[in-house]
Amino acid sequence: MPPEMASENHASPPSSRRRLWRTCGWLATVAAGVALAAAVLTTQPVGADGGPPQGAPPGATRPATRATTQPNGAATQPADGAVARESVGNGDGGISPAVVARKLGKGFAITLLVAAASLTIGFFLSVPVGVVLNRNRGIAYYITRSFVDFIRGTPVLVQLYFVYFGSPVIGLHLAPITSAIATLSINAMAYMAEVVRSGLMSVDRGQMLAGRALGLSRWDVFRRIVWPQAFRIAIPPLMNSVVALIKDTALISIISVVEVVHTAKSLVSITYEPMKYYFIVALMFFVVTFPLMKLAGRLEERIRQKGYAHD
Amino acid sequence: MIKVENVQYAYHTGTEALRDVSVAFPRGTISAVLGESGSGKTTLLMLLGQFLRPDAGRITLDNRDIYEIPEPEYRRALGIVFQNLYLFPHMTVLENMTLAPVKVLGADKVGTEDDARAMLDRLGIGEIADSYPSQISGGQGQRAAIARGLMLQPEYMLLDEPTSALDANTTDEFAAWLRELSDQTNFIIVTHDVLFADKAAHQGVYLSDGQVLDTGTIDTIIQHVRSGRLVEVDG
Repeated sequence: MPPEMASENHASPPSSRRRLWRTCGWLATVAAGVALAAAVLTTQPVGADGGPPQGAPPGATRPATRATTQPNGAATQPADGAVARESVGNGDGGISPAVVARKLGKGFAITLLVAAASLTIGFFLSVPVGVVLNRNRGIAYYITRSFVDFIRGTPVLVQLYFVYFGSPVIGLHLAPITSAIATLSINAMAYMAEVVRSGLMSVDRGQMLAGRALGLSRWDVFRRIVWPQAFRIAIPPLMNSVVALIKDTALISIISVVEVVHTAKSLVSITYEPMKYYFIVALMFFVVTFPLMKLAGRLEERIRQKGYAHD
Repeated sequence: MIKVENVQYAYHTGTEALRDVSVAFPRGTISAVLGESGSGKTTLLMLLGQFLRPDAGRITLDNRDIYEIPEPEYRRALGIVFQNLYLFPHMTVLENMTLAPVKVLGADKVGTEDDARAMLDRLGIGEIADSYPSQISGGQGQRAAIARGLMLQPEYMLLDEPTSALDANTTDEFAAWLRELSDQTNFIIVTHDVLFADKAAHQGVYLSDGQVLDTGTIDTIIQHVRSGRLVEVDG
């Protein structure tokens, strides 16, 4: 880079060029992820990778595999006419890419649905809980504090079992997906409340005094003065909670929610290709979480430049 | 008139911040509350601002106990500008100024914005209306914070250490500026800066270790400070 360009960049730290590069950077990475996923999906097993499932001797099925592989990559029908078996596979351990895509897509949609629902519920619960935590005294504080600590200090997996298998005991027969959303919402609430609390704590008490001195009600002081500042500070760590929760949704396969990991598991049980399918699933998660992680980093930088954290 | 009568205040820690403090802040004057740090100035400010309650004694506004005046009414009677200003960093100066009138007085937003711009022009800082607090100087911030308080047209205005962000030249200018504004607003300046108090205030009180050491016109207080009388008693 020529020196004058470097100094120009130095003079205006958040230069639009730098921002553009960074945007291109993560867009390219995401695109690479998608391309890689597509590549893995369209690659047909060539006998040597996927181990043959029991009762399906490799030798007998190899020709069929070749038949499904067509240059345009759009082959969905086995050439031997085994249409009826299309939904589970073509009998040689390879499943047509379209079926894989549809099944995993559907599973991932459930994953994202559970994540989105839990995050939304969790976030709205976390704000009042964070406010109580920030008070640091009183009976409501101690009860909330203990609950949040308990949730944060116990494994999500155990919590899932507790809600799913425990709910019928008190007469609540929660569906797996309901149990999952309930558990993950509470979990997200606990982690986000902690973030909200630290955000509120970082706002100078004087901001509240100044607002009160101007005659604003407690609610207006919170809504207009304290919360906007606390939230800006909390956004990057909140993003991290979002990423963590999205990853935690993988656990709900254990209580038989048919999300993406569950789907992958059944695909693997048919194809014996764990590397392929779990890698695809990993990529699917990454395509969603990576931009969020990058976004968190960028927001953090922007907040630092604006100096909100110090005023 | 705001009157502080025999006020006592101790913190939970047992520190006696104010002991039998009596002082009056009449209308039509700029008053100074002088004293070293730790003398009880800030505690007096928090009491006057209704943020703390005296353990004994009373504070009255026109013979009404300030704790019997409903908070919204009292807030409109007395504005406070804190030492650290506490301009709201996520809002422009204009938004800082219009928030309270719109929310508290239910004033019309557009009209209030016009008033705020006119106020900033009158105070000589019209150019900072659309700037954020992080983009303006200490002196501009000090004036902006006062402008924000003046939007509610309080009769009294408490200024906590208003010169802490100003250099010597600006301090003189600022004192003259306060004098100009003092026909509409009764300023109470809490400061350790004797030179500034001399230029800005008419009368005052000198606190030391939570007690009133001296009270009267600013000239006599300054004389006593210069002669070393107050410092000696302090020690």
